[in-house]
Amino acid sequence: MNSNKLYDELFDSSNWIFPVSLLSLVSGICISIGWMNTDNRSKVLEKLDAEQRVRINFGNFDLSAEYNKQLEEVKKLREENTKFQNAVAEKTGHAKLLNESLQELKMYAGFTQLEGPGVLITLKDFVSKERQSALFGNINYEIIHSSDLLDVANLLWNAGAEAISINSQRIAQGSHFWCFGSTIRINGVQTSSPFYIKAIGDPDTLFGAVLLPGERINQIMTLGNEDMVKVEKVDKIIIPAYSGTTILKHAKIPDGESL
Amino acid sequence: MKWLIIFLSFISGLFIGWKLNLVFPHIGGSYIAVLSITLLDSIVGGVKCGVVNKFSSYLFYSGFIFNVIVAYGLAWIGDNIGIDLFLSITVIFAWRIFNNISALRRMYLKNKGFPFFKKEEGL
Repeated sequence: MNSNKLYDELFDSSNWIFPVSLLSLVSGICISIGWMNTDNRSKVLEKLDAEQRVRINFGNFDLSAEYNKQLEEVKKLREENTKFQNAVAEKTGHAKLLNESLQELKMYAGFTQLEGPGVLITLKDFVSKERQSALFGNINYEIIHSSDLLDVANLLWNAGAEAISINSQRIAQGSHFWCFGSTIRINGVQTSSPFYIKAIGDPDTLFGAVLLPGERINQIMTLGNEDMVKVEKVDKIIIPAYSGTTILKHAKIPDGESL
Repeated sequence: MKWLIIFLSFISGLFIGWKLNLVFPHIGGSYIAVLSITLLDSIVGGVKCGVVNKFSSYLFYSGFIFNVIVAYGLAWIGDNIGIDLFLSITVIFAWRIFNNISALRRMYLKNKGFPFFKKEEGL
């Protein structure tokens, strides 16, 4: 009897509390599922246009500041890591040997600062006082492009450079140059003209190779302007450590038998 | 009491959704948003009709279901022809919600006997 009454009340067409409460429940579920927080925001926005996503993210927080902070953190941690490895190595002989080879590898892979003789190349966009309009001449030749940096880096490696950095970004495993509108991203960090390219190696060889006629630097000087390029031999140059990510998600060392 | 029931069911819905911990990636998130706003519109409309004793659960449910179908259809078409119809749907439903809420407010104030409404007839 009692349940019958409840039933009547619940499914009476003019009783509005039950249907409205039911939909309130569903709406609560929907809203909390659709609620965007910092954890699921990127997943929810995956299908949006890149431009829209950038706008939304700029409204959210300053990504580049966050990124730079993380880079600082990585740098600090890597320095600490080196310190710890050195400290461990002082204890025993075997560990010392191991550590020596480890430090050698790190040096080769670009995880430590390096110093030595080399060249310092300065590339910058041509800025003319007289002519500020793009109507005359080919403005394309008077701007440093990402392909210029790539070519110069290739040239330097080919000439026997042992370490290269561009605007304090170490060129190491996974380094890339990406044209990004008015800036060039090197290892994902935005930089712009002037570009200071440092390379460690035999200064004379590097100097000669870089200025080889027909190569990119020569092209920049002839097609653009001589002021855009400055190449110097340096006795001692310091190249910073690689600060990008080193996490491998897909690659791993194969088992013994497949070797 | 009846307001408390509605409010509590909304809160428990929020809690259940939070505990379910589902994420709808891609464009699915926008459809959930459209569903949410349709639900809110239906709830506010239902409350308004309930207050003036014109509530019919058949109209209520069918209205909600048809609104969802039309909204999803429009959103889907907009998705495919490249117009952001999500926004227009949201605008329309938000407008209806505002209308209904202001009607509820007028009714409440009228019942309280505020002087501004003495000369007005109806809502």
